[in-house]
Amino acid sequence: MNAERRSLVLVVGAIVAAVALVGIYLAAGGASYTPEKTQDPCKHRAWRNPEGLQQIAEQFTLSALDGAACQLGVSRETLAQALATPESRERFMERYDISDAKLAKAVRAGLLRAVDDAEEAGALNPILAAPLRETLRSIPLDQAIELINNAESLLNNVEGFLGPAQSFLEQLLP
Amino acid sequence: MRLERHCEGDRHGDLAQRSGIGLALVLSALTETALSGRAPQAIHGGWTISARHAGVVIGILAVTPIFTHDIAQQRHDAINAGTAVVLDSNVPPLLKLDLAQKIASRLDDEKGKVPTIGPAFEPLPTDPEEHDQVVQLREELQDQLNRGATHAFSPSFGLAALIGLLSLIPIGLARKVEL
Repeated sequence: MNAERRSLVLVVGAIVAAVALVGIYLAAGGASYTPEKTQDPCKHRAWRNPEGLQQIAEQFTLSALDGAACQLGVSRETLAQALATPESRERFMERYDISDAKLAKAVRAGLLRAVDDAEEAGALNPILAAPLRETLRSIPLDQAIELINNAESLLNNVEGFLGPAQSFLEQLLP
Repeated sequence: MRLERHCEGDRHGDLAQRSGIGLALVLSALTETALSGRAPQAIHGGWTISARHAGVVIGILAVTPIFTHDIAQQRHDAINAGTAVVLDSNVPPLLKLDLAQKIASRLDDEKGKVPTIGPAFEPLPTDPEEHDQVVQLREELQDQLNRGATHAFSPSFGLAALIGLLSLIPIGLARKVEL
């Protein structure tokens, strides 16, 4: 094989290898091998048949996150990470230029949406929903975030708040 | 913290770019000095090597900022996707909270790498149902992180392929050069 032919084989071989590499990458699903897109928090998400206080609290938290995230124009996941610690909340507010008042309004709106969703899912009796809405409309920001952020705390709060009435609540829950 | 990591990624990209520029500047001058007074074929060879190195530098300059941006973006997307997996999983709520804290801590520890989040799930629950749920969550979460890390390479990979194809032009032109 002369030199010219050998160089031609090398160039063609390199092109074939390069095209094959890209082709195999695409054929193996490389173009769509991306992280899942997060869902629009403004779209309603059906509750997953919660049973017992723990699961109701979890669904309540998720609904509240959706509602607040929708108000703020961010994803539910971004807001969940932001509310994890006071430091992450500060960074989030700075990054998205959100004031305390705006965050408080959004979190309260989220909690109200959670009450609506709980009522719609049959997880919360309308007798309890009405006063709960009234309470949530004026709840302080830190307390609202604690409610939205920590299911365990929420459960403890519910138990502490209800005291002897807890057994009554259990009867109203599905 | 993500912002800090983003800045760290930018610093690495900036360093790589500066190194590339420095290499390009020094290489051509050194090559010219080394080849002064040599035969025309040697000078031609020197220019060929210089051109090849300049091509590498241009490639690095073009690809590095794209890659550093993509790795930061994909990390953000992967963490969001992972958060969605955790939030929507069937793991019991209190166990989920515990896992979320351990996963966040693990992600912090694994700066600058594709995180391996397996240790965050240790010890696995002894209850068979919870065990299966946690293992499934672990696999889904790791899959999202792997997807993010893999996809971060795609645009720069495509650009590198394009630059490779462009090299066919000088190869084609070189066939007409008489030495």
